[in-house]
Formats: sequence, C-alpha cells, structure tokens
Amino acid sequence: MINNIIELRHITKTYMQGKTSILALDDFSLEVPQGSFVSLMGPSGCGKSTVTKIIAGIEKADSGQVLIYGKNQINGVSRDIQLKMGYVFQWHNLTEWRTVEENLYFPLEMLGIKKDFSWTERAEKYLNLVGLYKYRKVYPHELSGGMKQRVGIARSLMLEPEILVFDQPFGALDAITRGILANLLSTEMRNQGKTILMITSDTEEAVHYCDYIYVMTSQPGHNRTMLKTNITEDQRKDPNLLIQNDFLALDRKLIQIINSEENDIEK
Amino acid sequence: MLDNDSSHLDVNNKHHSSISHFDQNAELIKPKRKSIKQKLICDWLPPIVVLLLLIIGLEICTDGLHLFKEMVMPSPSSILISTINFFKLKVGDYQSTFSNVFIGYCISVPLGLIIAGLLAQTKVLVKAFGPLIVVFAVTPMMVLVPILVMWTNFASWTRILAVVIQTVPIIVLNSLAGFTNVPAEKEELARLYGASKSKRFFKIVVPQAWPRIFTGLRMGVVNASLGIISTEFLILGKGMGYRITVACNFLKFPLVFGCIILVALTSYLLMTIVSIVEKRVLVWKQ
Repeated sequence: MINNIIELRHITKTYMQGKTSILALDDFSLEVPQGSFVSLMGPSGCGKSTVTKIIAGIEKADSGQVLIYGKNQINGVSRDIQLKMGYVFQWHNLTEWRTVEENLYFPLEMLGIKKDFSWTERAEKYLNLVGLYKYRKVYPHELSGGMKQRVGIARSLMLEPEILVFDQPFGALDAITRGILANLLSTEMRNQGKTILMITSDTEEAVHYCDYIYVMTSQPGHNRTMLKTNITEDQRKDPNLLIQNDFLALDRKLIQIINSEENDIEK
Repeated sequence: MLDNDSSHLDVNNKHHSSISHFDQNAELIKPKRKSIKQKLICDWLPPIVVLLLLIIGLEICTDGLHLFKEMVMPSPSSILISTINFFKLKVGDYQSTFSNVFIGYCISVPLGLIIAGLLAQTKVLVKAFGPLIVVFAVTPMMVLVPILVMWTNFASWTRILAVVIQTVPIIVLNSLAGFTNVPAEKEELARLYGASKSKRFFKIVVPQAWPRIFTGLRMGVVNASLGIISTEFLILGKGMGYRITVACNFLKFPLVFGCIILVALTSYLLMTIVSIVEKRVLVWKQ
C-alpha cells in the first residue's frame, strides 16, 4: 500500500456569496503519496485554491475527510501538522510592516518557537536559495512582485517542512525566474524527500516536474482525471526532455483535457 | 574541529552555487530622495512666497491705502507688534492652553487606543458601541462644557477633561476602523499558523492598523486644540480662548488676530510633529 501523506476523501465545500450559497467543491478526492510531487490543475474558479486552503487549515471543509499523516483534520489542522507544512500563497501575502528577514521569522514567531541562532542561519540559507539574501533588511514595498513571491517561498521553507503546499507559486513571476525557480525547488525538494502539492496553470510545468497530475472539473470542483507522468529522475535532468515525444504527447493530452473543461464553462 | 570547519565551507559553497541562478544586482523600487536644495525650491519656496505676498499685500491695503477699518482687518505689522508686546509680558495664556492640550493629548492617546483595542476583541462590542462612538466623534464637545463645569465645579482640570472628551472619540473611531478592517489574506495567514487570539491581535491586527491609527492621532491633535479653545471661550480666567474674548471686549483687534494666528501656527506645528513621528514609524509604507 502506498503511504499517503495527504488524503482528501469526498470533500464538499460551499461558500456564501451574499445570500446565495455556491458549491465550490463537490465530492473531491485527492491522494498525495510520501515524497511525491503532485500538481492540481483545472479551469479558473474551479476550487483549486480551496483545496490547498483546506489542507493548510485556512478553510474548513463542510463534509468528507481530510487525512494528513493518517489523522483526520476536518475540524482544523493541529499544531504538529502546522509545524510540518509550508504554504505559499498565490499573491505572496507578506506582512508589509516587516522586513524580508522578519517576514521569514513570522511563521516561527506565530507558532511560538523559541528564537535562537538557527533562525538567522535558516533565513540566510533560504534567502540564498531564492537569491535574495542581499535584500534581507528591505521592506516588501521596495521589492518587485516576483521578488516578493520569492520571499514568500523562502518563508514557507523556514519551518523546514515535510509537506509543501503551493498555490500557484510561480504565477506572478517572469518566465525566466519561473523556470529557474521551478527547477531549483523541484530538484532541491525532491532531493530532501519532501512531499509537494502544487497548483499550476502551466501544463508543461506540471508534466515536467510532477509524478501525478489531478485535473478538476469546472465549478463545482470535482475529480476529472488523474494522470501519472511516469517520468524518471534521469529523464527530468535531461535538457532534451521538453522535446521528447512522450513528453509532448502527455503535454498535449493534458492541454486537451483542460481545454474541454474550459469549453464546458462556455456552454 | 577540522571536521566542523570543512562542513561549514561546504555549506557556503552550496549557497554560492544557488546564488548564481539569480541576478543579485536587480534594482530595488526606491523612491527618489530629493536633495535639500531641491526640497527648498520645490516644497518650501512656493508657500513662503505666497505667504510673503499675502502679508505685503495686506500691509499695503491696510496701513498703506487704509482700505479697511482696524476692526475688520488690522495691518500685519500692528498685529505683530501688539502680539509681541503682549506676550513679552504675559505668556501664561499660551502656556496654559498648550500645556492643557499636551496633557490632554497624552491622556487621550493611550486611552483611545486601549478603548479601541478592548472593543475590537468582540464583534458584538464593535456593533454595540460603534454608533455611540460616531455620535461622540461628530458632536462638538463645546456643547458639553456648561455641564462639565457644573460637574467639576470650575476645577482647573475641566479644560483637560474637555480636551480628552474631544480627542478620544476620534482616536477610538479611527483605530477601531484599523482593528476591524483586517484584509482577508492576513486573516488567512493567522489561520495558517494557528495564531492564538493575542498573537493574532498583536502581530497582525495592530501592525496592519498603524496607518489608520495615525490618521486618528493626527485628527486628535487638531481636535485637542479645537476642544481647548472652545472651552476657554466659556470658562474664563486663562488661556488663548479667554484672551481672545477679553481683547475683543477691549477692542484690541490686532491682539485678537495675533492670538488667532498663534493658535493656528501652534496647531500646525503639533500636527507636523505627529506627521514626522508617523513617517518614522511607518517606514514600511510606500
């Protein structure tokens, strides 16, 4: 049996918008095995973000089961899991009143971890990883959108989490930084054996880095398909991967599925 | 020891390899700072020129051409001379007014913040007290002075009380607006890290509210001056408001105008001081 770190079973979630309730997720299920890289795709507004927010304990599901490390977290995520999870927001969500460095300390402070020298060490390590160590004393308003997002990624790593949940982490980045960062993160995190769930809108990115790709239907979000990429470690390192036939076929298949979902919305 | 050193080196090397991925010299978005010379010409010169022209024009219209009676508009030079002559002998009125403003403001700021902070803890309290605070904030407290006088039996601290009741509501109103309008994404941040109530309040709610709090503090300074002068019109004895009333009765119009200008300039100065503090505290704001 595969050891699933995160498992969602039959999740439903409704939102209240004014007086009407909107069904955001309908019987959605998801499995994220240990050490795997899973991506979540689907038309915009299908509830992808809601899925990650339920896993991170930001939102609560109405019914179903949220199993993280096998324990049901339907009524809010417990502290030991908060300590093991890194979350990257779609729009960086930095605290503007803190410098870059202080932003990195924020999760540690909020979770009540005692401050020691390891904080600065960690901050240095992860700011170097995203290439922003030079800007540690700067306030977020002086950084560009992409740089802020990179700080957000560094912040999510500060707890040295075992699970990483990314809500379109590269959406605000330019193509070059996006490529570098996606590559860097996926290799680094894979090497460290971390479990990653990422929302993306880029099919190439999904096929390139992920083991499993979940595609959701348009609202209300429901499982459409799950693809297993079957790309090996060696293949990922191959710079020619992007032009190999297997890869292209998979990419095209994914685009087709997503397009058909988008078309459903128009109908 | 040696082992430790080598591993340390290794770590450093690793960092360098990742640094190279990014352009370390990317430009920061920094607002251009004006030099003092530029500041002088762009920011300070225009208002000074306007003010000078106004004073010279008034001087010509009054003392030069005698267009106005002294009662309507005394000449700037006579205002200056009579004001200096008066306050050379008696600074008590000025001192009294602005020490009361100072003491009242120093009481109002913590009091306002504490009241807002306590109310912000529960939504019910905000809903229950919100309208009352708005009513207090929009009522000119001068209307309460006759009652205050009766309550306090003309005690000297009635003036401070008047400042406090004029200043606190506006500080509470603005701070409460800051405490209750937390952006949704910041609430998500609190939930993500399972923040306790106190951590949520002190590490998220308060810091993000600072800009609104400072709006309240700036308006509070203005209200404090307003409160004291209107009180002094009614409680006689000392203060700038009292001096204006007396000078008016004795038809010393240049002194009346001098007092008004002095009050205006001091209020402006006080507000500038709060703004400077605000800029220092809110360095993180654009």
